[in-house]
Amino acid sequence: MAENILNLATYEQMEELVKQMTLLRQYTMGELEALGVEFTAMPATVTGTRTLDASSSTLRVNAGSMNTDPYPTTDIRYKFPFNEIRTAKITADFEVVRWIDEPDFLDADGIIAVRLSKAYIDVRDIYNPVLRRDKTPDCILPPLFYDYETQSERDYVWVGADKSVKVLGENKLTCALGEAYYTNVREDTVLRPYSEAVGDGWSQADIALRDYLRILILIAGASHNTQAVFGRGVCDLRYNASDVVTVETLTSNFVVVSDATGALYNVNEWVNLGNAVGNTGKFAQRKITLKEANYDTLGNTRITVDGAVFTSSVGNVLWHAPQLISDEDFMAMGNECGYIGTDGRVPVSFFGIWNLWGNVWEWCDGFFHVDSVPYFTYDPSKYSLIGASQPADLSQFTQHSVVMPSSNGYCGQFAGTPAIPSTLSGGSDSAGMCDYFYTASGYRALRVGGSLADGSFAGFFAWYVDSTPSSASWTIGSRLLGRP
Amino acid sequence: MKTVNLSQSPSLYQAQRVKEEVIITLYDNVKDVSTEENMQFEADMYQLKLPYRKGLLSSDSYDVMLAFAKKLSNPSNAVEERQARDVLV
Repeated sequence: MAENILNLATYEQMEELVKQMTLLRQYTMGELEALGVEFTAMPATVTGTRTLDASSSTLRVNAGSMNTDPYPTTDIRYKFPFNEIRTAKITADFEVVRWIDEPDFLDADGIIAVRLSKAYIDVRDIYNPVLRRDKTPDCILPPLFYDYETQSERDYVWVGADKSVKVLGENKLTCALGEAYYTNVREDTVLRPYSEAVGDGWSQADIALRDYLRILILIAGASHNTQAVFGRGVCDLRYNASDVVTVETLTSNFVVVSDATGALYNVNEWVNLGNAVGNTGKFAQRKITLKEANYDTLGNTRITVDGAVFTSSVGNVLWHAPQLISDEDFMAMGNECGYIGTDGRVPVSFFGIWNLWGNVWEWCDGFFHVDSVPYFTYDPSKYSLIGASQPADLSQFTQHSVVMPSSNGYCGQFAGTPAIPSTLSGGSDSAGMCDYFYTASGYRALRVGGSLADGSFAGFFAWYVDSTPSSASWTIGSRLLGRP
Repeated sequence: MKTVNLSQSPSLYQAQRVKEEVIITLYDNVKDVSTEENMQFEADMYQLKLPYRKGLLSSDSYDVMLAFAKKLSNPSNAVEERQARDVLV
């Protein structure tokens, strides 16, 4: 028998066979590392218990400031795949130019992206996910790591570290610090093609990525309440028509508002000014550099912003712009979790992937619904079929086995593969998925996470399926995903 | 930083790939402290641990890496404190 095998198999095949047999033996003996988390009382109890080799793991989050003490050895950051999550500046061809902790990272050219390593998953029970480095009988390859073109596995993907920004003078996107997110443009004709224009293997973030991140987040945080565990994200800011200018200013770089309004804004926060809320006719994406309460005897506050001078009129509306991550905060956080500053007003990092919730919504490609019946594809070559109107040939997509709720509300539970909202029952800001679900009838695409004034509605599990890819708003951006 | 004694003059930049990481050893202030019986050198040694990329194996970045290592040995802000914890060996 052994002789026959040797006759038939090449050396490489034998090597692979031995490797598989070794893995099988190790799997049977319980020697292969596996991380899991179990939620036994969802949707009422949103926290879970880490299982298998994660059972004694902990998670330390930087809550407001950086804790630069050594991490306890039990921290989950030392476990695969968290220990391989790394930020770098990379080329469009996926060549690393500089890792984040190299000395001249900020000065280097490249797309800022985070490398996510391949892990195999067991998601047969949505409330008991398991993740392994090695392929075993109980675990499958997440679609994120499957190359539909070559029908092979890829070892890792690159995820934009933050929302995308536009490359000056070109119809393509990148990820860079200190530049306004590219919003207020359509997904189907701008954000998606501009993402794909980065190069071969690039697209917008999609449902395959979101579903893989869901498992990482649940195992790392052992909770569905992402805002409570990692930080609220940018969700408690102002988008309100009552935040008006009270005193006209001429060719200066400050606005005057009531003390009550001024109290809602802080130095280092990014703001817009226009003739109505949502309008940026006076200025866009300026940083507050100085705030002087009781500036005059009339109960006004003077707010100074950076940039060129402007003129403001009584009744102009001040409102928060998306909050950009400073170089200092980005570098200080590295590939850790948490936020620097006031919870709810600053971006949150999940191992160096920022703004997975809050700030601005993020289009999630590869998914849409028609009257609550969801369809999806993991094949990026089909994303362009998800256009302004319903795809003519729905057979190009997989119809999901779960029907989504047909009304709005806090999401109670997710179900199926990929995991999607299945019911609002049991949901609240602290129960179920802890985040909000918005929908509308007809053909609608998916955006996720929430925006800067969404409060507790925001979170990793916030889903918004009530607009088509032709929608454009300052509240919606996108994230790059690179598949080498 | 450690002061180390060496039996021969070291190459100032040594990078060794260990799986998916690179351990970079940097020497500075190398002094010949040989005696009649023994050849000996004394040097300041810094070690950094970074994820692997090919360019890190080249000694071209010795000056930049040495300045970086010295900065992290005496961190002055949260960025350097974190990097010192994560990068310095």
